[in-house]
Amino acid sequence: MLSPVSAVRRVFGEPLVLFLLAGLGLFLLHRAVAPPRRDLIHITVPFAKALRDDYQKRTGRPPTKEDSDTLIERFIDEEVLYREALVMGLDKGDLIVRRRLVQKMELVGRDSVAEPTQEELLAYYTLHAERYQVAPTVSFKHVFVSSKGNRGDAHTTAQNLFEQIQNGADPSTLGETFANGATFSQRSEIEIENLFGAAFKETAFSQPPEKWSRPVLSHFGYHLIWVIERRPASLAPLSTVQNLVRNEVLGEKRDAAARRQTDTLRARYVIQMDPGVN
Amino acid sequence: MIRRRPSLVRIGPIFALFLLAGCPDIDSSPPQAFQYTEMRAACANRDPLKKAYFGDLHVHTAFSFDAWTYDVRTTPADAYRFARGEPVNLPPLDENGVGKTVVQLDRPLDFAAVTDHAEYLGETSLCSTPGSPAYDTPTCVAYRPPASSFLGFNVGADPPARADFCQDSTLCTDAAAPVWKVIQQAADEAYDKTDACKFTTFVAYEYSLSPLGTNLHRNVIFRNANVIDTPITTYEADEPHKLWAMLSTLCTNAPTGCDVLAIPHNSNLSNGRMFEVEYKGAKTEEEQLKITKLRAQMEPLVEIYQHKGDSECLSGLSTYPGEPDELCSLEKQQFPPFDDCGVSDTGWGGISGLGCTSWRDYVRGALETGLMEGERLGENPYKLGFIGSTDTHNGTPGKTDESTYAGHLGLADQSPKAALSGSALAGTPLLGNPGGLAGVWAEENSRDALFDALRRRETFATTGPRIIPRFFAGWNYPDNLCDRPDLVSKGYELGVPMGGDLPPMSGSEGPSFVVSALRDSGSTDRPGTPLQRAQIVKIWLDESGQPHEKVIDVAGDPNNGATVNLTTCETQGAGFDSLCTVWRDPEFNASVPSLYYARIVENPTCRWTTHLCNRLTPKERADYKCDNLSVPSTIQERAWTSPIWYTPN
Repeated sequence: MLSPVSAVRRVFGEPLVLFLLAGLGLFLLHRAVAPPRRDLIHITVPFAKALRDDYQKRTGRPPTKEDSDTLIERFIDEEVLYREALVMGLDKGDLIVRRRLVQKMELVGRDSVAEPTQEELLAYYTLHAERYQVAPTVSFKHVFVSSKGNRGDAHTTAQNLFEQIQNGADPSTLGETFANGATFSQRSEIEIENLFGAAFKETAFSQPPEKWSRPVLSHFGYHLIWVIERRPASLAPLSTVQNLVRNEVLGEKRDAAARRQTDTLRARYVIQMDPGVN
Repeated sequence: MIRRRPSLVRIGPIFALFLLAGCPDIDSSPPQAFQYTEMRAACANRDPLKKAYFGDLHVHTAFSFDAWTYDVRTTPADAYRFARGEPVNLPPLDENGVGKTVVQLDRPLDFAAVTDHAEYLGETSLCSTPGSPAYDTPTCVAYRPPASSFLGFNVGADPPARADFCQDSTLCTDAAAPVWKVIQQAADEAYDKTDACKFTTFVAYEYSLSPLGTNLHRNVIFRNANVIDTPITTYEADEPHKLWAMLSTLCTNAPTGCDVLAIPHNSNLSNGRMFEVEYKGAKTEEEQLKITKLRAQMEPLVEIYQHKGDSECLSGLSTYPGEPDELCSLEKQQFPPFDDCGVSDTGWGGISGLGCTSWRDYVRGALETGLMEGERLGENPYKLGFIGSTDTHNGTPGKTDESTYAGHLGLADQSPKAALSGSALAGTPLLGNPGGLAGVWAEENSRDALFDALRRRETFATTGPRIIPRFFAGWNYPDNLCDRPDLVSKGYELGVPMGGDLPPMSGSEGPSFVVSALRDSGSTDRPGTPLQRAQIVKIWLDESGQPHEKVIDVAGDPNNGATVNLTTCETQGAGFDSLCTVWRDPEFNASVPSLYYARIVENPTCRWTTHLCNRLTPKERADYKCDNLSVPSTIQERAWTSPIWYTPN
């Protein structure tokens, strides 16, 4: 009489039993990892909803019941043909499919890049500081006398207003309206030159602040200029150019990642070039 | 009702006020008019009395089906860089496909919107991207050089039809989706969100409805980055009222923070259909009123001037309701004897120079129609403010100067021969022009400030120069306003600016109007031109409901004798550096509706054709018939302010 333990040992020692067990294991593994049956096209509720949402995005209206049925039927037709085409190997040797897949791989490489860290942004910003320079600016107000076709008269009037201000007149009550405003804030040299001309720009960028200038000629007449503030050229703080820096860092990282991916993949291949190909 | 996402940066305006405290304004400050609907730094440069900002809201790039066939390769990002003052490369292309002609603005713009044709975005991408599923189809092969023909895209088919390779259209709409993303991204990246507020972009596109070649195009401009998932094109909306309805459903009434307006352009080529009064499908007055209100909400502006001509007015129409206005001869596409539609007829084929021309094709006719419809329905569908833009197909926003104009259609109109002789492919370049600019009065240069100004029509158009016009109307302006430094603050305080409605009448006298304009200062290399005169155009209905027009010279001197030397293009004679006047309408009738807008006119200068001919050799001048061109040798550049309306109680 065998003890139960040795009976079990004996049964599991049988090559046939071991074979069957291995087979069962393989079967279970296959069930777990194998693709669903080749002839099944499974339309789920979320998938049908996605089709309908897409339709609404395209047309601006929800699909009718009939539209919705057509969408699903058309998808099934396409899926059947797509799968059969793969079975028949129609994707092989097709230039368009080949290019499309290459493009997708390139995108996979580019999209593998993580959002740049603050350290990366800072490093890039520091290295390329010259790109984030802010030009010097001036803020000023002005009293305006239009030329009215006679610049000599306008100059006399403006000089007269200058003297009135020196004698205590309120500048905000003097002169004429300048259609584009009496105050300009933080304008660069090029902006001032384009708006008022070269002589005006020279004065606005050299006149001592908080002091009325003598009459200055522009394209429009004469101005008395009061510089409120001038700011020298400066480096824009990272916080204000964060988005620009991010886009540039991300662009560079993406280009590098796409190149790296191709290089890594190429390393897996043996390239054989016959003499004379170059 | 426009729903807005609550301000994400409520601290912004407070911060701006804090900054302004260091720069006290001479004039008093009206309350703050807008809120940010997006994440951005508050502008350091804010003026409650508003500044004039210049931009271009009609710009095509290589993403437009026609531009690509002219060998234009400028992308939306390139176009925005150009607007900011950087160079772009135009055709002819070198062996690497890079343009060999370098162009640059001498003055950057303040804002721009790239408005590529939304129709065929997918088709263009599919046919120009090697490896795309349609790249090797016969239609795509024909689309690329040497044929460079977009005939297979079925442009202008009525009803709209897709290119054959689109199959059931999903291929083409799928291909358009990433292009739309690139357009949005370019606008986002070029938009200055720092407190310097140097440059503003808008996400935008052109809705290119052209049934049988009649122009019904609109530029669709979004307030901020919250836009619709895919552009609504003629394939989704084959009539304009469907576009408004869809924009209303998918944008303004959607809980996404989306806001939008559409700007019609080139009504001069619309055969009476851009501003028609048929209200398709609306049988009752109630239904018509509904469409009218939707239209008024969606389309507060019209692009009055661009490279395909002026749409303000046309002399010689049988229905023209006023004295001849010789300044209407500006950049015309129709020449007498043209086919006149009469009062109510319409035609087809305006883009190709076909079909009849209607009084409603011109903005004055549309404004008159608006007053008449306002009387009939109680709601004016054509209360239109004005902008100008270029419609460049080179991706070169704001390149409006006549002296260096080298076409807007890539290879198709770039060479002197093409420009001066015209070609069937691109219409008639000889009748084209460098286009105009959109002027906007806003507190600062940010999307919300500019968009609000567009919506309230506080805008003006120019033929290219940066003329700066103020225009106010009210009942109680002091007569000496021009001699005072507080014209602008009094303008707002005692009346309304351009684009507004006169408040109810007060007193017994007619309204008075304040016009104050500065000449274009020009750039160091290219000085601006002095002003000749300021005019007010008055449009009104008489007691029997018939429209009338009158043009009144209110400042400057129409007979100042200024001329231009056609050989050197040097200008001679006096002009004005600025103009200002307060004008009261002596013929005002309080019982009928009326409107008024200002027109500021420069001294004559050379038209681009004259500049171009002057650069040619004597033999070329003879070959291209420079001495006998069918277009004027000079142009009087100008600005138009949006109108101000009066409606009787």
